[in-house]
Amino acid sequence: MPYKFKSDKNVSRGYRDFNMTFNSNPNTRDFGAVKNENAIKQSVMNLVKTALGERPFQHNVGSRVNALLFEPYDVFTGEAIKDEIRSTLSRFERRISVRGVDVRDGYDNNQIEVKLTYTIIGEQIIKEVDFVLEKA
Amino acid sequence: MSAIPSEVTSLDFFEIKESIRSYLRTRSEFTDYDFEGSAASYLLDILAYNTYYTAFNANMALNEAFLETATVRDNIVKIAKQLNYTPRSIKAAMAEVTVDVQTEIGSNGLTYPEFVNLRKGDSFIAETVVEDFIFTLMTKQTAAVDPTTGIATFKCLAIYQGNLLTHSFIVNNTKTKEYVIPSEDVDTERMIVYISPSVQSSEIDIYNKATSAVALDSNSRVYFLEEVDDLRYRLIFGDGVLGRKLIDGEFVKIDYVRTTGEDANGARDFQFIGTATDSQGRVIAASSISTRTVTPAQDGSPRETPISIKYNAPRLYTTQNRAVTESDYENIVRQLYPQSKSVVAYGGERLNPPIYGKVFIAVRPQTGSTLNETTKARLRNQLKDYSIASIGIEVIDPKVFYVLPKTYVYYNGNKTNLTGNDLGTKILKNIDDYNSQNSANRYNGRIEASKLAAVIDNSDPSISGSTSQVTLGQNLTEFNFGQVFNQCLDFGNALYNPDNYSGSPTSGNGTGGGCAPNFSVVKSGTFYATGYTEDLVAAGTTAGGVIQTPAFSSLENNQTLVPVNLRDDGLGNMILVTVRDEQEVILNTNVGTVDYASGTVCVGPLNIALTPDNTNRVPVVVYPAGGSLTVPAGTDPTILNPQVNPIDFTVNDITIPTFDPNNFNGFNFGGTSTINIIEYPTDTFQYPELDECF
Repeated sequence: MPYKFKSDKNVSRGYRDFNMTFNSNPNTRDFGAVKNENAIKQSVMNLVKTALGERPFQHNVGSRVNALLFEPYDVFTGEAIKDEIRSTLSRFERRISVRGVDVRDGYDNNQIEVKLTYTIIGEQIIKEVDFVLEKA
Repeated sequence: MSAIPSEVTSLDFFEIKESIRSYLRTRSEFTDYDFEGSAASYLLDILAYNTYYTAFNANMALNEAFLETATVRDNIVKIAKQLNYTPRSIKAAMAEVTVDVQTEIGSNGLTYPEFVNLRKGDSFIAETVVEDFIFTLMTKQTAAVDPTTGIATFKCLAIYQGNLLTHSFIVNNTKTKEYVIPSEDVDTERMIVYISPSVQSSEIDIYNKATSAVALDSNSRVYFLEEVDDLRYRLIFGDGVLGRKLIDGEFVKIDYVRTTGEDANGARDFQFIGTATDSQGRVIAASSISTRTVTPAQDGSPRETPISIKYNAPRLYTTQNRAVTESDYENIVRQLYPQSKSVVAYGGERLNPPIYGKVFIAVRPQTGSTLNETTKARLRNQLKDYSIASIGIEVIDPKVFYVLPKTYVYYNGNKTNLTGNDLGTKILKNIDDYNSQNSANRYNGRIEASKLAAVIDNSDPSISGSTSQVTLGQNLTEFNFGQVFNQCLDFGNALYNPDNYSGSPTSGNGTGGGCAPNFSVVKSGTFYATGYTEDLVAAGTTAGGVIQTPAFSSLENNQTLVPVNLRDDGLGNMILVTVRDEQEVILNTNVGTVDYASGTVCVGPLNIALTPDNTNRVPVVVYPAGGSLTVPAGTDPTILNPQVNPIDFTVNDITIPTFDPNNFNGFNFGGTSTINIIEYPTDTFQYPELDECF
């Protein structure tokens, strides 16, 4: 049997990404990795929190959410944030289908709380992500 | 097999990123790099950006290391420095003024003061429409006072636009000292460097700029000049071998002019705003000082552009400061006289007849069409430092011959909305563009009929084709009114020989028993010749149309000069003619010769009494054989006054011949045919003063 290069072997269809914290794995002493649904969750957060123009030469990657955080919060701003999150994810995150976005003003803490529900394409389970957009 | 990223020198970010991504595809550790939101994608961005940055930096750094590709001026200057080239600085405009100063009776109550002083640095102001300019006197001036009128006159003072500034250093050899002039708009030609043993000393040496190391020794009072960063100039003094080395404590003072360059060109109407004092130390009131402009401000020019440095530096290097070949002379003259618009040099052996041992340099200045004699003499003297011994240098005005195209353009009126006139204008504009675009290559080149035809034919899609008839023109200039002169005009191209087209019946006056030639190929403009008056034409007896015996009357009004023209008789002779009662009358059959083979027209002996425009110019046009033209050595051909005749062939289908030897009507002595290829010129030729031309 001829030798198979590693690249020719079957590659897992799972998702595997760096962990954004770059914390080291205490066992392997290598940097950490996130897999599958966690990798997708991390990607979703990255996209929402990246401002347009932040990435070199790719001025359309990211969302306007950061800019909207500093608008006076009302129903319209909330809707705009929701739309922006939906639009960003539909453009750049092809692995999920967004089911719902809920935005709530955390006025006392200078933050906006976001609850995002989505399904991973090919799976039936609805995932839910809660995260906070801080005005800082 | 796993590929390593290969596009590491690409200057495209996405290519680099895709290269790294391709590499990751061959690995199994991570899979999310294709998704923009993944951390891997963010990391790829950083890696690709870093690679891009390094590649770009390497590319820029290498580009800036070569004269050919450098774009930053400082880098171009540094590379040019290796070729011993110092870029030209900005040049102050110079004007000449005459200042009259009315002094007052001196303190003794009897006599005027002896003289009046104007100080170095005293200023004149010239108000122009755009802005006011300050002009400065570079040296102290003294003028004697006329004891009877009390007026002191400073004649033809040279003043330079800008402020006279001074910068000084104290020499200290214990540390590296840079003598940099702290201003970027310095006219280095107007710079004066004084060295004195100490700050207090009144003993002063003036140091001169050295342009080469030849003839320098340890006592030469010289400095070298080079441009450094940010458009500043640095002085470098001798090291004790090439040029005197400065000693600790010596005082270096530099007077220089900071100028605005060419902006001040054309300024006139100067007003003195300095302080004039008389020999008794009294300040003279401004109302007693009047200024007349002798020469308005001129010769101001901007600093050399990076493009010009890139062009000139290697070329000057090839001359090695020696004028040997024709191009050496051209390059050195461009350096010595930066205001030249074009320079051409050629050896005398290329002339007809050859003049060995001489080199001719034709210079066209940026303003005007010829150099004045002073500048020519200065250039000649300066070139002696570079030229080979025993080679004579002649700085001449470029000869100009004027190419006069007459074009008949056939066009389809159904394919264009333009009228014939509009089409003509469009074609004229294209010919103008062609004329200006090719200006640099016209010397020593050729003018090809096919190129000109292509320019005309491509002017509009409706043009079907064109026929061009080209004549050449020059002016007779070497005459004074009322004096007999001889002048030969070299057109450098063979002319049609009318005798070759005169048919061959057995009777006739042509050579070889043929017919007399029926047309002329050389014709001059109208002028008045001394001795040819109404009286002569009216009362003279004629035979065969030629004045045989002059007759004179005593009536004064019969002595009026008649307008005359020159033409050739088709047999190589120039004849003088006039028109009387719609008939041509030949006044003189021997006023010059034509060599049809070489295109040389010699006029004389002839005595011109007057020209219609009162200038010393009489236009002469010739009809060259063949469509394309050779440009003789040192001649600047200019396409002048093209005539365009659009013909809509759907309406008017006429045929225009380029040359038909059997159709003499078109080439006759002044017939009414509209297809007259060569006619008597009406205006003298003047070099067009357009920026884009030449």
